[in-house]
Amino acid sequence: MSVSLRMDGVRFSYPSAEGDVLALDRFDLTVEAGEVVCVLGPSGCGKSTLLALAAGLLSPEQGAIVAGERPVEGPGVERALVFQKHALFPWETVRGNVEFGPRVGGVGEAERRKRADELLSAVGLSELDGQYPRQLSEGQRQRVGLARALANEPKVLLMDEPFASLDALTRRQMQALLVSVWQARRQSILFVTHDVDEALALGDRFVVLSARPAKILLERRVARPRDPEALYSPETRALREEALRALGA
Amino acid sequence: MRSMILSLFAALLSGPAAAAEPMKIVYALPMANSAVLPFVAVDKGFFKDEGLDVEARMFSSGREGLQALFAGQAQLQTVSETPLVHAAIQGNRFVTIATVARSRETKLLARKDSGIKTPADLAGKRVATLPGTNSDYYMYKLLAAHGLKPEQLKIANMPPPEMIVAFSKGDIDALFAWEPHIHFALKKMPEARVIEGGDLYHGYTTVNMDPEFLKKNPEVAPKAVRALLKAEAYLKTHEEESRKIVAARLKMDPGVVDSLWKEYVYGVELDKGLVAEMTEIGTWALSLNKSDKALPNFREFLHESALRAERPKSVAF
Amino acid sequence: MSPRSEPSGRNRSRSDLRDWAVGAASVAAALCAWELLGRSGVYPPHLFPPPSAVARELKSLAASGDLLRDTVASARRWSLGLALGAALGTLMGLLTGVLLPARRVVSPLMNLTRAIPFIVLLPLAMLWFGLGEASKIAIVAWGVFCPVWLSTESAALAVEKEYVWAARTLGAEGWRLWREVHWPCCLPGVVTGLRLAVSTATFALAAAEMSGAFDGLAYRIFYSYQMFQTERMMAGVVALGALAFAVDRLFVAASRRVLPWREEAA
Repeated sequence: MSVSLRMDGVRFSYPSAEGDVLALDRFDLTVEAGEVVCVLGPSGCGKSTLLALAAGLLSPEQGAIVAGERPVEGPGVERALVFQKHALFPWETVRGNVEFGPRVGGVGEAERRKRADELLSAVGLSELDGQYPRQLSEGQRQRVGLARALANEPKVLLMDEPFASLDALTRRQMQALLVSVWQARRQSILFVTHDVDEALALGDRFVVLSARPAKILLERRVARPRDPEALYSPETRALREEALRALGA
Repeated sequence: MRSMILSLFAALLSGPAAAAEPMKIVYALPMANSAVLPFVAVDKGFFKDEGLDVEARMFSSGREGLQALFAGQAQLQTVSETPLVHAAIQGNRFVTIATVARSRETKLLARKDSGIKTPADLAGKRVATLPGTNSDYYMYKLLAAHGLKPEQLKIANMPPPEMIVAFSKGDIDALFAWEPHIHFALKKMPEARVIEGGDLYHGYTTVNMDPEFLKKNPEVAPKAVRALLKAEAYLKTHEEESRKIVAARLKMDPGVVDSLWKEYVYGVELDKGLVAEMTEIGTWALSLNKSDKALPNFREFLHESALRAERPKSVAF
Repeated sequence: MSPRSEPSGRNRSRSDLRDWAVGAASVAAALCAWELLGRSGVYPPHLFPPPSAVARELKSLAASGDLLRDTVASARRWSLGLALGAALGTLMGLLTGVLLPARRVVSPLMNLTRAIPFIVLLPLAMLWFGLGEASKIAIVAWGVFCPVWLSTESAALAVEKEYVWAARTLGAEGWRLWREVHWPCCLPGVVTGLRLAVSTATFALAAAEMSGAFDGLAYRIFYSYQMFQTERMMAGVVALGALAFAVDRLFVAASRRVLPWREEAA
């Protein structure tokens, strides 16, 4: 399997009122092509920073980040970010949001439409393509956020607790949606969450991070297939126990 | 401009007859050289001698002071006759107890580079005036005398201080205003010239009272007239001191007062010339504003008994 | 899943109708009170004319053609000044809102000058722009410039980092990022500033027409004041008020079209 995203000895700190805060130090992480890696950790441990670094929105002070074969020097359309608070552009319609990436990337109108039609149908929002984000429910907004990220046909999806603010039922639906999207496209996914069950349901692998500066405390593979029953198997239960212990719960 | 708005508010809020303290009298005076006799009467204490506690309140123009009279904030007031005519047409009430000066203080001033040598040259020129004033009336009168229609000029309204700025910049070719503004404009642009219009118009400087107030306090009119007559007598014997009083009142260079002194004939009187003048202005104002209002009988606005009792020869009808 | 329920068309129009009726009733009541007060003689009618007299005067102004001429003159100055002030204010707001060095250089200066009421700038405007239309348009533009500038700047400063990040990961950089994210984020600020500016523009227009004009609604008011024509003054005030109100309504309708994505465009 080829490597899709690799972080090598990454160090990053951000300024705060009490001086610089070290978020990551000598941090290593690899995501294989087509692999779903979930990142678990206590809040404020630097999970979001990790994604911003991978997206190229922040630059590491030390170490290297490589996407595919190329070092990351800035944002790139092959790495798409999905936000916890959806970050949909309120001035664009649902379709406008989904077509945003292809449009600024110079994709022709017909092709853009086709891609948006497919994605909107995949996330079940074909009927609402003319609505503005404020007219949607929170779950629908996350669907649009996902479709928008996929419209550039990225190789890596960077997802920052995208389902954290949803109710339990909607979250289950969204997780199922993500799995079916992934099964159809097989992108690599780096998925940040604080929910152990979510990590177990989605990931091929999960890592548990420590408090700042983040270190990998635990790293485990999760057996396939991802079937709801498997969540209650003894193996999965053991993994959950292990993860929760690592998280200090 | 703001004082205008404020006095309007005052007019709306206080009503006309918010009576003042008895015998405590506010005299609304204009910042004008024509009000010499009232200035002298106040500052030499001639009103006080008559038992009137007069407080002089200065207004930038007689027009403003007139608003104070209508608002009940002043009981005595001095203004030229043109604003009185406009006010009378619109239903405002007042009584004129005397005139204190006659003048030719309204003038047409033209820039040298405007090519205006006679009033007839005004056609097509940019000219400033302040509506409702006697210099405004003079403008229409002068135009008519030279066969010009107002539409043939580019007329802009503005207060005299702004006229002077626009004039010196060349935004306007000529202006119609009164002293001392003409004097100030000439000081700024000595090469400008006053265009003679012939003997078309003499202004009257009037002394007016609120009729309601006068009805309640009929003794005030004779007292005020006596004080003004004293001022007239004083002026004859103490011209130098009188000029100083005016200079102090108007915060004006004594030299300016001196140079404008001869523009006025000072004297307390009431004559039929005033009624004729007001009637003529009234007729003009009604046609100018296409108004359907009736022309007032200006004779009814005069209260001549006070002056007649003191000096009958000064009342001529 | 269905979209969040919006008030249905019928309900909305019914509540609109009710609001409208309440508004109309309150205006009518105020007019009645004014008429009664005017006729009661508490104030002499030549100082405080009742609405019926003002309406008569409006009619005569309309019949003579003065009303139309004045309205056109005022509307022209108003709209040109508004357009100029809005364009400059928006530009300046974007400049100082987006570029920190520009803000450092310009803001202290602008905050200082904007503290000066524009009425006192009137003589200066006449000095610089002459007596004609230019100085009046300049005064209106100045009155418009400040609220638009401030409001645009604060919108530009408040652009959410997440939108910028989202756009960048989607491939927008440089000018494109600016055009696609910063500009739409600032637009509500521009619109808010403009709405405020609509009223300051009317105010500035009134000040500008008080001097050096020979037509315009505020000129008519001033002229009538000089002539003691209180009824005509009030007629002018009513006409100016109606114009300002109509423009405000038009503006609200237009901003709903420009910003369909906002909850409350008004």
